[in-house]
Amino acid sequence: MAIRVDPTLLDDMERYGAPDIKACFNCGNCTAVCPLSEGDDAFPRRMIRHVQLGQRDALAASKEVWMCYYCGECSETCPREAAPGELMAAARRFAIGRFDPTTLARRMFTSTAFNIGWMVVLFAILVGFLLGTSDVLPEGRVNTASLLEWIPFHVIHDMGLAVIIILGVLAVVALVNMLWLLSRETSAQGAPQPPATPSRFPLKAALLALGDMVGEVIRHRRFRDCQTAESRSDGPLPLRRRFVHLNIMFGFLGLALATVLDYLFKEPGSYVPLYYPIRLLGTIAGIALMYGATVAMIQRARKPERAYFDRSTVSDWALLIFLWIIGATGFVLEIAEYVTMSGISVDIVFLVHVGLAMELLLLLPFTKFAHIIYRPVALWYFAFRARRMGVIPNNMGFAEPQKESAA
Amino acid sequence: MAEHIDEPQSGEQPREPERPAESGEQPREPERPAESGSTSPDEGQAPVPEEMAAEEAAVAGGEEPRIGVYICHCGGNIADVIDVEQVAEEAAKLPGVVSAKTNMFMCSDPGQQAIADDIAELGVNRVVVAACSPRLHETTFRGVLERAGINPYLYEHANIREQVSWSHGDPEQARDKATALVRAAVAKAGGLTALEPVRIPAEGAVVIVGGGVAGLRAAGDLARTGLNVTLVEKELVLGGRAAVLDKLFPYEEAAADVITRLADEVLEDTRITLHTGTEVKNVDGYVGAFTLTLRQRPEGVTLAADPDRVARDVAGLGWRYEPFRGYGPASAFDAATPGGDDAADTAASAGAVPAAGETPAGGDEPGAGEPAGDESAGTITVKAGAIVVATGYEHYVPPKGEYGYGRLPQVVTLVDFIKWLSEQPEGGTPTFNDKPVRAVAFVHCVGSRQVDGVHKPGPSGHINEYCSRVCCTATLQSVVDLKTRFPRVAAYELFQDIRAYGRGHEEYYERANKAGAVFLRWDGAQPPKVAKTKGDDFPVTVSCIDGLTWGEEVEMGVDMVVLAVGMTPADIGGLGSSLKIPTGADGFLQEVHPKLRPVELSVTGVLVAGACQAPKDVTESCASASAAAVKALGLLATGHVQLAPFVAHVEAEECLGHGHCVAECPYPGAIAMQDYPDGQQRAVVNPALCSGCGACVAVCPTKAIDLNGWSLEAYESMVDALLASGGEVAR
Repeated sequence: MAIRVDPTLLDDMERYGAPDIKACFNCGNCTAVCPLSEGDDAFPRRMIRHVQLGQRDALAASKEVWMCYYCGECSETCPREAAPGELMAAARRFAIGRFDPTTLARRMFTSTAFNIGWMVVLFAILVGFLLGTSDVLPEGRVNTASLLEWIPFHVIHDMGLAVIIILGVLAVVALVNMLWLLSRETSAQGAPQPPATPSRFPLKAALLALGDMVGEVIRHRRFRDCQTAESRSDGPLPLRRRFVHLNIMFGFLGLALATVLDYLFKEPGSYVPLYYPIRLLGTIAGIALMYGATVAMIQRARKPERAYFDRSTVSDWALLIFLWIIGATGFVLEIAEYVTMSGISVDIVFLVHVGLAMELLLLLPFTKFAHIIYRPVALWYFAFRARRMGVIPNNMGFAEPQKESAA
Repeated sequence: MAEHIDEPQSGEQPREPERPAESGEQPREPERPAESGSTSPDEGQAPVPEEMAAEEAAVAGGEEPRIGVYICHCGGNIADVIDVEQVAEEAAKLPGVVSAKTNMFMCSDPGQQAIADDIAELGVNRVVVAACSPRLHETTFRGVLERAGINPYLYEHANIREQVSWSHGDPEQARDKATALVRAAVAKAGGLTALEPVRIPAEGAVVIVGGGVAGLRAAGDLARTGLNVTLVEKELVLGGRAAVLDKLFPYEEAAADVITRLADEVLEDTRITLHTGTEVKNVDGYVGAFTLTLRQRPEGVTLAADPDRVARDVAGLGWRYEPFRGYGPASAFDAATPGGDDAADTAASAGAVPAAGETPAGGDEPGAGEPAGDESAGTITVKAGAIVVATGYEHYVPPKGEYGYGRLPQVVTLVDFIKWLSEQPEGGTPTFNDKPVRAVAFVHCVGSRQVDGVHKPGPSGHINEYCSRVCCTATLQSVVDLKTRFPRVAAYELFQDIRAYGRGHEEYYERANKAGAVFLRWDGAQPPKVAKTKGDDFPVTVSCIDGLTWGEEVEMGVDMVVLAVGMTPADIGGLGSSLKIPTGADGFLQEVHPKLRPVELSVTGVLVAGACQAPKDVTESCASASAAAVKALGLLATGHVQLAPFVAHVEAEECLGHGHCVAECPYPGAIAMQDYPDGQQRAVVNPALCSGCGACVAVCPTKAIDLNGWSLEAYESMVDALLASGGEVAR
């Protein structure tokens, strides 16, 4: 079936953060220099063509959107200064917006005012809700126990559960959306198809694909390729983007794990020493998160001569700021456990910590943070497809045979 | 051409068939237009060449040949293979040779000086240079002779580079062959006689055919040099095809302004005679003395030149520019009254002094450059020294059904679109046939770059394989215009290659690109398809196999389809049939050489300007028109046209009037039989038309006819010399 052109997507992508992409004249230099684009993968060029022709579904369902780690080589090579790397980032935002059934993500990505306003309002609601449950202020020594007297544990617990349920529902809907679009688009493109749907779910392929995906996520191997393919480096290892990203990711996952373990094994508000395993895990993960977020923010602010730091959107900043503040406030609260601190400031820190953490989770499907779900799922899906066709994903490159060109 | 055979009988004998140097006659003084001022650059200088000619003839006449032979090393090009010193030694032994020398580079200053010194000190009066191809340096060495005071045609060139050292490896054989060639050249040189270029008195007047931008540009340029100009335009208006444009790339000047400026320049200049509604019916003659027969429609207007140079009152003529039609008198735009238009009569009489250009046919011999005509019959006769052909092009007309053209009302040519867009009111949504236009597809290469088997041959019988060059930029310009004025209208460009080749052209591509035009690339063998849509939002659907989308089929709904039509050669009518101007495979007029003689046609004195030569934009047309103007001036500035002297001549005593030569001559008018007072008919050569091919020499039973500079005798002596060298000569 012929592709029907919709010329309005070009304008839309401007609002998603790719204002220069109209300058593209389809030369393909971006794909030629891309260290990750191999075989029949043709990003960013294929993405750009989707944008030029207005293929919204094809753009949102592209695996290439999730295969790119934005090394910026394309943007630096582009003879038209069309910033194709920026388009890939915009395409991820577009995809997140496309999968979200509430249109909230679309509004947040395309309007700075709405984005900031909505984040402030939501924070105010959450904090207001927390404050509304208690009219006393903690007195004397401020520690977790006393703070939990102020805002009762069950309130936080119930609110947290509510947030996670909301998040779960949203995530499931969005993922169903995504997988439906992926399967529809991958079959619509006329690419070679896996064998006809078997009577039983191809569990083996699914598990193998899961292994492929987890291996890639843990090692960031493609991210590494993305970096080493550059003739240049961003300086010593601690400053390289892959290392920084690994810190942020494992820091967040570590803290999430510690929170769950705390909930399962620890009496709320009880004292534990620093070497208590769960506390130790949380502390180390927190340090990693703080390190990663701090370096990432400094790099974004200082804009070293790299295409990927050229432009930062509100969603880029918001995620880093959220993580950093949650991390920083968490450390203040941890210190308060062991060192005598008092006063209203700790109360505010506590409020901010809890409020922001809940907001971060609530907003997950609507912000850049959503990639923590979409990227692994997309990687799994395409690995699964490849496995079903008997292709072993090589470094997640998925050398999937593309449709022969009609010409 | 037939009339010219009669010319000698008419008593008017403007051409001197015999070489002036030999006959001792002064060539006839050219007839110059009666000029009131002395602004002509060549005035007073015309006699000088004749005086020099007489002197030179005296120097060269009847002397014993004293031959200088000069062998060139050409760096190592020759000397690496041939022992040039040995060749020189051999040459020195030849009869008549008084000097035989070698030089590292004969063409260098010291090399040339060596020849000049020998001429001065040893009295060398024939020169042979053995070097590279005569194509390269024959003229160089002839110049040396001329500067040293001897006739430049007492020179013979032996090619021992291309013909010997570059093509033979064996040094001994190569040396022998070089020696043989030098021997032959020396043999010929001994028999050379001084020659003079053929000089033809030239009319100081130029006819320019075509009143588009190229014709106007050439007319303005030429008139300013002091030559008389007649500008002939087929239509009733000036401006040609440029008038269908709104703005001209790359500087976005209004076509109206450019045409008005060019045309006003022409109208103001009273050296220019202008005929509109006039076509060339016939051309006779040759460079320096063309006679053109023009036919003017009754509606046509003539503005005659004025010898007194009283400036025309341009404003008083009442001419004006009508958008998308051209620049002309009010009558030209008044379709209701074709023919008897008062305005035209008024205009003609107001602007012109009738006597100047309009001598009745059959009257006194008209002065050079002054057109003679019989206006009542609509036939005008003009004499000219040179002709500038600026007949332009026609837009390709798609056959019915090509991309839906002629079947779907939404399918228009770019020419139509430009006019339509210029008529859209600002703001809002543009409308076509009262329907809003939301999306427009532009199809490139319509009528250009056609593919055999895909496209059907047009009326010319062949497909247009060439690129029309200007349509890419013109289309991009229109897209930019559309997107600037109506940003919400979607624009699709279906192209093969974007050939935005000129200064400032690429910017249009970039601007169209950045304005959001969507580009789709099709392959020549799979042109886009245009179809009526049923039950869709858009009336027309355009689709193509898009190379930029990995060969997938892409379709788009549109309200208009614009075909970027290319250029096709225009019919040049009587000019073509009279002059036999060659055209290229594409049907456009073909210059002699694209680099060496880029604005000259194979008929000497006929120059080409503008898009009749090849697809050109306005800028290029004007550039070539100025070039053609300068070439015309170069031909006519001295009042004479000089042609190479290597033409046939007849020894009158020997000629018995068999007439074989006339029958054999491939150049019409070059030889004719003439009645002599003794009652005998004898052949007479017209050197202006003779090409020196020698066909006449071969058929003359009495050997009465021979070629200047290449006589039979010379050939025989060369053959003798080659055979005398003995042994096998490498070939």
